Amino acid sequence: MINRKIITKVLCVVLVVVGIAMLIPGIVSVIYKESSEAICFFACTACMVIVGFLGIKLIPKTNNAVLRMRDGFFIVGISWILFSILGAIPFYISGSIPNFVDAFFETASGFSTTGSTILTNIEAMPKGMLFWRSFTHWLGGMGILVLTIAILPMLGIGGQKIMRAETTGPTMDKITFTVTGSAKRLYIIYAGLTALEVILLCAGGMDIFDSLVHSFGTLGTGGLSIYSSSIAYYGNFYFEMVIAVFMLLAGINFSLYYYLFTGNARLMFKDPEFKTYIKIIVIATVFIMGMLLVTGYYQTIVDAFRYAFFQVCSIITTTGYGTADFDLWPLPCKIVILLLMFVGGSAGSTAGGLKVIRFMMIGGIIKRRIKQRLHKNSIEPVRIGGKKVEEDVLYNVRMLLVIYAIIALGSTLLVSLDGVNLTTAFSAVIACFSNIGPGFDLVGPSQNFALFSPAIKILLSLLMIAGRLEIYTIAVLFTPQFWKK
Amino acid sequence: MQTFIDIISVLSFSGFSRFADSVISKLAFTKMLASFGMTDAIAWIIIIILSIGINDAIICAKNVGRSFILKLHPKAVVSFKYKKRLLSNSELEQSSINVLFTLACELVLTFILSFEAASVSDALMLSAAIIGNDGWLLLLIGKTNLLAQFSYGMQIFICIVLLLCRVNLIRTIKTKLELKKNAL
Repeated sequence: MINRKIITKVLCVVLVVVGIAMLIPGIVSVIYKESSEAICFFACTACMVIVGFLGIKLIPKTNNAVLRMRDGFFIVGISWILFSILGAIPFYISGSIPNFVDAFFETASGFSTTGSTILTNIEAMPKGMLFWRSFTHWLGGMGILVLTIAILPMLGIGGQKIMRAETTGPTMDKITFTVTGSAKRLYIIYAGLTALEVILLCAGGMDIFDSLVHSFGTLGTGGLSIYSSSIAYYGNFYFEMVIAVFMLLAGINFSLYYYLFTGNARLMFKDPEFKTYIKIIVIATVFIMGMLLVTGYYQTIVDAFRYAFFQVCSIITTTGYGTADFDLWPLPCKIVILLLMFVGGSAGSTAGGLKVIRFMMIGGIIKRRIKQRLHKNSIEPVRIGGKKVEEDVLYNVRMLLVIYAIIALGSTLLVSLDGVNLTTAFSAVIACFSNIGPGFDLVGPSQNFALFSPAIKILLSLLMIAGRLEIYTIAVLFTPQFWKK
Repeated sequence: MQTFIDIISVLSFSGFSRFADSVISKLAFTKMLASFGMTDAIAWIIIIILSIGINDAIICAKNVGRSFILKLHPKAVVSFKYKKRLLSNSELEQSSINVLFTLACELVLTFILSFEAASVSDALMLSAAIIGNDGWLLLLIGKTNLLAQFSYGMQIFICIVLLLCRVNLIRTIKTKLELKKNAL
């Protein structure tokens, strides 16, 4: 069975971390003279920190405790559900989102970096709440448990399994010998890129509050904006390009930045996934640009590039910010956007989706199978960038895609029972499962998710978390094998 | 053109012909399904499962269970039976590749159809129905004469895909007949 002592201890640490994180929006509320919201945040902080510390103190030390795979899954799965519940409390008790299921949906969307919203009047929300909503993106982007591992090595437990279950991609890159060291460096890069974006947006004349929340959403690939019309609100080419470029950067494996900053730039530009990721963005942008020009949707090449590039970056990195309503674009553009929703960013990035590397591996598997049909006795490994990919990694990739398809189809069926059409149901599921944000039709970029029943909102929230943790971590909790002794 | 589609549709048993259109839409069963609320989503999922193939779908579902066990116990040896015999690793791999390949083909076809289709859902449903040769299922939910929205060029392309997707079945029947002949 699961190791209850360690798990309870980690959950207590999670409680403390979330509690401390709430101090920041509390301070923002004080700055903007939102006294009731500030009280909500500080009260939540106090309760969570006290309960968390009590728990840590009461549970005996667990030096050299062994954390098994099962414990890792449980800790990460339960922690993420707990984050969403705890994070929803300030929204609920302040009355900003009076329904708890809605508050849970909004927080799950924040932490999982999805960016789907149930809010119909975003501008009316207090600044502190808007800040918290975006800050959850930043925390969830790199992984809140990775943050915990980075800042709290004194936990006394191996963080490898936790980091493995929380980071994205078929294999885990360790840029230093220790998990704590890797986690610290990743967070430094992450914070550095965020700071750089804030500076660039401020330099262009954006308000410091707006630049902060949008930078959180960009680097976390979240996409919850503080305006109903998202980035289109500004109508500013400079802001759009800065955000688009940083979205693109957030979709790159963060380990590659480490190599770049330590003088191994060649490793970054030689990375096969990086090259494919850039190629996909270029091809999709050119195709959509061409379609928009040919169909006369935009008159100039600059406009077509501006909107196509932004939307492609926004969707492939699963951010979900919008400068144009792509639901009104010609159908082939919409289908390209739908395909990009499946692809997602690179492994080891903050982006969601199935990841470019997995599609490269699947391509390799299919190619190998076709070769085997022609030459029955051929035994050939799948290679990515000249390196052989292990068979168990290929198996996991295949199965992940199959599970993704099964869950996506099953969930579409359930969502359609809410009385929505196929396009809405399917795109809502993919938008949540791939952590995109907007879908098509009734959940398009200019719409929101308020139309769904509470049960469907909970389902979509779980899909967001499952998508962020790449399915297995959450799905395994619902299997009988997990609970067997 | 319509006659050409009718011939190809009959040859590939895919139900896109005028004949299927007139027969299925008049069936009491079709009306019953409509009254039960057979939605586009339900029909689409059934079409996708049929396009994958029931056998592959079942084996793949079993394989999913196996992958969960392997996640929890990476060194476990898990095997299971289907149709009273143990499945080999190669068969398991083949079934999951079949499923992924079919879905990938459907997505590519959806993209191609999107150049002329009326909506995202039309493109999604049609591509699954074409790959699985299951146009008759679309008739059950009242989507008649769907191919009419396309240009002649696209209709010919669809007919070619319909035939290509049926080739596998024809090959299977041929093999079975040969086996029977040999047995006799």
